[in-house]
Amino acid sequence: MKLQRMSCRRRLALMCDYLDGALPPAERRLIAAHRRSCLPCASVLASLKRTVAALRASKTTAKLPEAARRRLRARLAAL
Amino acid sequence: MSLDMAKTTNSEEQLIDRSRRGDSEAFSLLVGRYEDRIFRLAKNVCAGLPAEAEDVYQETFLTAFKKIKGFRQDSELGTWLYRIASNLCLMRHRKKKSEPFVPLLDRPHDHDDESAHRQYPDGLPTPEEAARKKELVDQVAKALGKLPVDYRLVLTLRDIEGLSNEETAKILKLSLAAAKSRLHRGRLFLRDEFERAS
Repeated sequence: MKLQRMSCRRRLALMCDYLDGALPPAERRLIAAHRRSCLPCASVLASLKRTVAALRASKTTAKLPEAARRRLRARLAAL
Repeated sequence: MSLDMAKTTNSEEQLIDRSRRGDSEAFSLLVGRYEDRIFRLAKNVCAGLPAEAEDVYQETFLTAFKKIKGFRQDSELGTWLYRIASNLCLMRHRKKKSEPFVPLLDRPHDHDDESAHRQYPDGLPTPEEAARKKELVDQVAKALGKLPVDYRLVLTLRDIEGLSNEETAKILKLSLAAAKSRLHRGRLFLRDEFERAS
């Protein structure tokens, strides 16, 4: 299906790749143009971008407990 | 490859080689390089169950040490460890048989633009608007916990650990298309969850 004639729902399926910068240049330009002309799609794209940002921002907080680290070393040494 | 990278690679190869001969001290040095990310994966996938996360972390490295003789160096050690941890997460969740069931927007014949827009309204606050980071992290954990583990794994590897789609697919033994499909549906689900929570 030609991208120009795609429904918004079909375009949504490409937004993941668009957000990840993984679309070929031609498709990327078309999604970017659609984003400028379709407010609801622009809104979805913006909120998806924030979702990914939230996931990435949560990365640094899971700290390995020191006791767990020690327990593993002890179990390995006992093997 | 830079000299530093070559040194690191050789050093890791040497540690793997010593580990294959049963040297647990060498293996512990390898553990030190990967344990934070393996624990982080386990914690995110076993959302809300800290004891499970620690078990997965421990079992990943104990399994790896037992199986390192069979580790083929055609893949990265990190990829191999992620795969062991992912399998352990999957097994634990399947044993529980209490996987969340959520409709993951699987309506391939619905191409109606109006309904597409209705389903994905805006309203998610920016991360900057979140009161504190802890609140954000709790929100992520809570939302991830509502997803089936297969989707949680893809989102964690791709968006939290920052691996590529290709690496994620390889670790989970999925086709690239399947990994990308789960990523997209998982992101949309989380987006809706965040919106509901706001």
